[in-house]
Amino acid sequence: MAICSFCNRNAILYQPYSCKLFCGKHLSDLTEKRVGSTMRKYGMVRNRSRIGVAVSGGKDSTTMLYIMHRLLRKDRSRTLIAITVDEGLRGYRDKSIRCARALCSKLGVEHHIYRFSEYAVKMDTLMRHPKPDPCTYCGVFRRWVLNLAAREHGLDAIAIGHNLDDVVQTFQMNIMRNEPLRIARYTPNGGIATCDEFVPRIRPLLTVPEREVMAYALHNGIPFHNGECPYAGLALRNPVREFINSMEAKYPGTKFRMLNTYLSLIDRLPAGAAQPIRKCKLCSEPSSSETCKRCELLSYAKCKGAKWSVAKKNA
Amino acid sequence: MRVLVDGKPLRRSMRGVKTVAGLLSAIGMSSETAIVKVNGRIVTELDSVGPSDRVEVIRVSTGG
Repeated sequence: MAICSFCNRNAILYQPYSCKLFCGKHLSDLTEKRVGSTMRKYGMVRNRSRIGVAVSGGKDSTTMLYIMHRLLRKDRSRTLIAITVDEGLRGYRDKSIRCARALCSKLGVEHHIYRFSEYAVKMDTLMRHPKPDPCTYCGVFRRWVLNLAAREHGLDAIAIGHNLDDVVQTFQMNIMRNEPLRIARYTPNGGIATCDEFVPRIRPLLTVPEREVMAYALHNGIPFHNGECPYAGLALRNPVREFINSMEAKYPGTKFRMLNTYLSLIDRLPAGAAQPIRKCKLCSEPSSSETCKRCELLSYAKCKGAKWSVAKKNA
Repeated sequence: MRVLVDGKPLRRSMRGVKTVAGLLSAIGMSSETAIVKVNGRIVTELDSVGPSDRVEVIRVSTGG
């Protein structure tokens, strides 16, 4: 058995980029230290008392909630509130919601579930109609619902479980799509434009590689659903993920170097790169244009013949 | 050697496979995208595997 570089226990993870081996305890210490440092460095919870945690029930969000709960458990001035968005994906989201519920109940964290069927359109319904790019719809609706939920619960920020791999994949995709403004908006701590109605999103797992999140979750017995979204196969993210993983295998440290490039770029983007935030003329939610992306996508889908009724908020 | 990938048995000969890295490579996966348990314990890709071992390969799924 490979032995931990820091003690005599059996190793559960080898980090090719540092040439070190970690047992469960030392991997947990390192991961929690990284999350804590990221939160301090970017002031993610500074002057914020009600922190939302977006918990889908997958490995990243459950690990993030578990670590944030550990780091903030002695701080009585801060409250964690878990929010789950149910996109209406049968056989997938229902399983992960069970894990999210189990963890929140174990940690004693308040938990609220928001359903696409009430605010947008269930993904399974949507996919029967205009054959759109599922990830575009899902991402837009999810962000819209999360922001609404965060406001309804008076949250000061909402933590998103984007790990190192997610961040560098998004960075790479924004380069490939020639979207420099999206790079400017995708920051570790809430973007570069502010507005009262827009609850800042924070990314505490920014410096934790995906496989280390998974190893942490398995070692600490965190309940999570390890399934893949049924529509994930259609996403541009897949080939990008494969490419970056192959580069990481050949040249260890590639992901961290990409992260550093992205963070350096954000620092250098001019303040004018941010679009002002205004209100959508249809739903009054924050938007960078006259009509928000959610209302725009709903109108488009209706034009293509999709039929549904949306109970809350005008659609 | 008994190999399970995401809980499903893998029906393929693993003769000649001596390490976790070799096993992952034989089934077209890499340590970037999988966590491996041998006889119930999480191991690294540097660890060895033998014919009597029970190996579980857990794919690191995207999202979540």
